[in-house]
Amino acid sequence: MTKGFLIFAYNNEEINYGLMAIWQARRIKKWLGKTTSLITDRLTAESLNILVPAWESDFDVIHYIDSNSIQKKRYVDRKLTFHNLNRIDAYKLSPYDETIVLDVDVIIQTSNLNKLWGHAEDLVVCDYSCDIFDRRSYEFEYVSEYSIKFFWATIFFFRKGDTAEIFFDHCKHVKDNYLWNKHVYNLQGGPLRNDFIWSIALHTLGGSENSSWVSTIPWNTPYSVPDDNIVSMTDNCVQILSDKGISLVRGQDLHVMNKFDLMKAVNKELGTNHE
Amino acid sequence: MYTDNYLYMTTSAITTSQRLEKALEFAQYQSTLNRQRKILKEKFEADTIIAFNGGLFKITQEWIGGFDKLATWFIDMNGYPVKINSNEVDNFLLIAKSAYSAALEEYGNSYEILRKQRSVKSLTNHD
Repeated sequence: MTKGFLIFAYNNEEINYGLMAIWQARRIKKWLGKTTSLITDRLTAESLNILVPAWESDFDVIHYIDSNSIQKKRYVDRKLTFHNLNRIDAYKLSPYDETIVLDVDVIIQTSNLNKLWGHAEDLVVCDYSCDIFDRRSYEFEYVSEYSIKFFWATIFFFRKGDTAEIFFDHCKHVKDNYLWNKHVYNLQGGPLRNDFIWSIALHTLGGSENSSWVSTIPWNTPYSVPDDNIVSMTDNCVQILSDKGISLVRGQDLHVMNKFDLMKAVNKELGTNHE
Repeated sequence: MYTDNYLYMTTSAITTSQRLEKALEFAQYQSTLNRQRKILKEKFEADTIIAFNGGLFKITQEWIGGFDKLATWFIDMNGYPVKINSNEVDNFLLIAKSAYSAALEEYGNSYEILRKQRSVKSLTNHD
């Protein structure tokens, strides 16, 4: 049975997601001892050719699929193009029997995700998360006030088989009818979010049992919000600054939403100079 | 020997703003310490989860104490039964015990270092 990670990375006007994908693939190799495949486009690849020669060797398989996204997302203080529309194709794009899909803004600092391989269930999603500054927010608990449970599309495991196939097919249905679902589930404005697609698909596939049917990653994934800053990042440790103070996260994977700061830290670690 | 009056004089010699500054510094230290404690605890919680035969199990002292070597089925963290054959049970317990003691050792040592730190800077220092 083949096992590996799958990453989606499309550069936008300012963020070099491709570079972050290389950095993450190297961290995956180092901490988890696994290989990674990449979904990207030609433009991203061209920028990588200049920055990191022979970057393709960091990946098992590279699929070039152009993004036709025109949606914009807020990145700290500005709005940039957000390419996230083909995450639902993970099932058909993954070259592995067992796949863990990961956002490029997750800093891998442990081998925890290796615990998911060989899981008894064909789909394991991310439910538990915690703000490293302990700020309470319903945003990551429910898709909106008085609505359904929230699940992250940031990290998930699937094994090829009926359950995962039905899930991804249904995600496509949710995505194709996103405007309708937006009204039904009282989603706030803003770009289409895979987290919401995941949450709605899991909810509806559970019938009257809602999303309780799905297995979840049982440990908390800590996160920091877009306004937090990365002060420093080493091999297994990140310092984060917020208006609540400073926190040190050592020996835990961390979901960092400030892409600009992560970009700088990635540049430093890779020894590249992308501005 | 100091008298109560002496102590009163000493305390009142510190200005209100100095006292407030110290209180603020202390509050910042305490909230940082508390956050770092929580982060360490989260790490310990994650480190004491093990994978075995397709199930994920949360290992605690109670779990180890109540481990039944004659059992065939074990309930995982998602509440589903996982079958463990009799020839694997010893290995399962061994893995669980060693994961737990390694995680506890690291948690204990890290906590010991943390509680000795006396400033926000040292609490959040890399080294």
